[in-house]
Amino acid sequence: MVDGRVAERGRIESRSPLSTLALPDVLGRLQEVVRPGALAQERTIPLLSEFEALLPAGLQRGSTVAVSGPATVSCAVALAVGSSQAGSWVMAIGVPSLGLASAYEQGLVLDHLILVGTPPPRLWPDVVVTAAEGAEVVIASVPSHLRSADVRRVQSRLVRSGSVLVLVGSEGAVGLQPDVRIVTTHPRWEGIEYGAGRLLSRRIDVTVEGRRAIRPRRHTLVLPDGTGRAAAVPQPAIVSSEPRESHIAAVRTGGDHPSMPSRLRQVG
Amino acid sequence: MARLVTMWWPNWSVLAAGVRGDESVAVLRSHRVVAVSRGAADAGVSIGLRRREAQARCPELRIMEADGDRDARRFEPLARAIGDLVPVLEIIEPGRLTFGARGPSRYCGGDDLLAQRVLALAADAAVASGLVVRGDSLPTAGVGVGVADGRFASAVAARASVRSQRPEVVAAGRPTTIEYLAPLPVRSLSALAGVEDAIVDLLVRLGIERLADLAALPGSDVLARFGTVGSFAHGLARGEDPRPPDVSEPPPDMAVTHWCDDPVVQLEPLVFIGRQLAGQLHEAVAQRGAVVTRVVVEAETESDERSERQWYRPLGFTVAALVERIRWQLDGWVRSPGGLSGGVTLLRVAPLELRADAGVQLGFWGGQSEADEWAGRATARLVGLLGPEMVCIPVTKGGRSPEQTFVAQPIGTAEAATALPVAPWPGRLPAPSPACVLSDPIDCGVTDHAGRTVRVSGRGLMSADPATLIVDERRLSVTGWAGPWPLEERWWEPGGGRRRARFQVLTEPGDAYLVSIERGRWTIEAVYG
Repeated sequence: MVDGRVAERGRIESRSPLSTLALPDVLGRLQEVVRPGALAQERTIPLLSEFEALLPAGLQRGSTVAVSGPATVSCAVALAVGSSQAGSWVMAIGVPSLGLASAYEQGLVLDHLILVGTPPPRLWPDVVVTAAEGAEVVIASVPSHLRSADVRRVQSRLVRSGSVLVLVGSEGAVGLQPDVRIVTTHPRWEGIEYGAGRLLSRRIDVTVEGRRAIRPRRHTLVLPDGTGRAAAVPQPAIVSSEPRESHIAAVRTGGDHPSMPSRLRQVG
Repeated sequence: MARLVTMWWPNWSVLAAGVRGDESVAVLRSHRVVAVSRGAADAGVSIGLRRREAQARCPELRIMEADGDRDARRFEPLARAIGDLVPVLEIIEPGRLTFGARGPSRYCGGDDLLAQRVLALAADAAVASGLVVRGDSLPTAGVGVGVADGRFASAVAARASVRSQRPEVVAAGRPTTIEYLAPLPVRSLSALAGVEDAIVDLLVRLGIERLADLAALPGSDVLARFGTVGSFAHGLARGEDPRPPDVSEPPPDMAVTHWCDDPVVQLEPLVFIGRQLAGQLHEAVAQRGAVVTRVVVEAETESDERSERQWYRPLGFTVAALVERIRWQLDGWVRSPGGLSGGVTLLRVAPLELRADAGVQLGFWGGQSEADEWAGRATARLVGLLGPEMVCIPVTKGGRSPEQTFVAQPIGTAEAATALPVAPWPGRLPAPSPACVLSDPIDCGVTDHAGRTVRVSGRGLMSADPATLIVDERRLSVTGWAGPWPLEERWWEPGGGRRRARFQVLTEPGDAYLVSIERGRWTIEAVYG
């Protein structure tokens, strides 16, 4: 008798879990579903766990990220990997030098990657907006003369499509106001010596400056590691005790990275 | 049975390409001849040949690539001229259309007069649009018009009309139709009615060579031995107009419609809307396990101008094929003389005939998830904005250089990408690979401490250790390097292939490059960016 009732109840529960619960339980479950945390997660794109320390709030959908410095391309690709592995599409616009083997090693899903050639500058906003309708992350190089009106148009459309635009080579663009600026500085390669070994892995300092963030964050990332992926540094070398001025100075010099030849900076 | 008129202009692609006279031209699609000019046909080039065979038969043959848009655009004036006479046309392909004869025939005063009228309209339109010169060999100039009972018989009549250079009218009624079809070879079933080659081959091997032989067999035996397809062929031979065996009528509510809030004037946005409609329709039909074989596309402007066309594709429309038809129709309509007086406010695509999906149909992307769906649409639109060459996908290729492992290929030509890079290539650099691979390597200089260029001997020995990397007249001091890794590729080729030696070079503030030397010339191949 008792067993029968339990079995029956189990059956009902499996059919419709809420029907047999008391009202407070129902409310509790609903609360779980609609709690702000879940929503916040919806509002950001999936990122690799290595970026947690750098971007604790994640990357908001609809935001614009400008990446610069000597590790621009690998960092831009690393930002797209999480989303790509979650099943979304990634489009790269005007980045003909994107190393596909490197992207593959980083974990980007190549059959969800579309490479678009460099569009003529007047078509750039249309192309970016169109790409954003189909891809969650759009990596794009910025044409040198970009009107700020176009940028605003692109940014407002991004909010609607819920994609993230990752800009590379944006140092020259004046009218650009990215939501997040990521500057890579001080690359330190390991494994290679003077006439021996080979390039194995690289540590790179990454500074994140947000429009809304109070102070820049700076972390060290291993990008790439021995297998080509992004990785966290075993002991995080967090630099936080320096006064703010020096951060800004570091950002500025990083953004301008004097040693990179100008032709190379354009492609990378 | 429906009495139909078929107008057929064989080898339309050649004409649309602007070829005249006896020049030998063949139009190729995927390396197969799809249309030939008179000169080439006289030299023995026939449809279906491979490029090499065609060139072997006719060495002075000029090869042109097929361009469906061009063919359709050039055909539009003809379709419009005939469209003035009859309400609904069905365009099977550029160069071939069919319509019901009943109304127009009464209007013109009989099938003969109607056929002559259609022939004259088509020839005049072709002359007016500059495709044919009057006096060439008018009145027919290569076009044929046939009137007969049923689709198959009317196509046969049109083909006969091309040869005889005058309209071919087959008197109404089953007995005359059967009599007309009887001497035809069974092969014509596959060319004109889309019956599978396998069945036709089997019939020929069994000694049934003429349609008369096939028609003489008892229907039930044909069905028992050859199944529904055989029964369909039997029906054709007996002058019936059977439906293809697996065709059905769609339920009435399957039409997809788009009302534009703002009238659309330009072609591209219209085609984009068409693409969405085609996608919706395709999905709805695919859920029934079917494909659309016949479809009517309607468009309307704000000032009540209308364009209505039927399109037919025996294998069923893919999304891309349907969009192509929509583009043809709209392109011709928008560019019609005088243009449109207003923007387009309505676009509707309605299926007329469905066919069970035999598995040839592929979704645009395989269509698994919503993200794929969106990406497919966005990609299609990017192709529209920038052209097919500009939108690429990565394809696994394999090779020793970073730029060889994967290559970007235009999306139209590449078949799905990549699961894994193929087995590791000997001589490939181990991970990590460089993040920036330069499509055009940049010239650079590598010098030793004394400022002399470093050289690498044929045995892989270096003249000195590299000390400075010179790029764009900047001198970067080398803090680390590794190599040389010699690379000898394609040495068996007459030119001697490529001999290179590669290095990884780390320079002053921490930038790493992949540089190589080939015939004494240093270049940067990639940057570890």
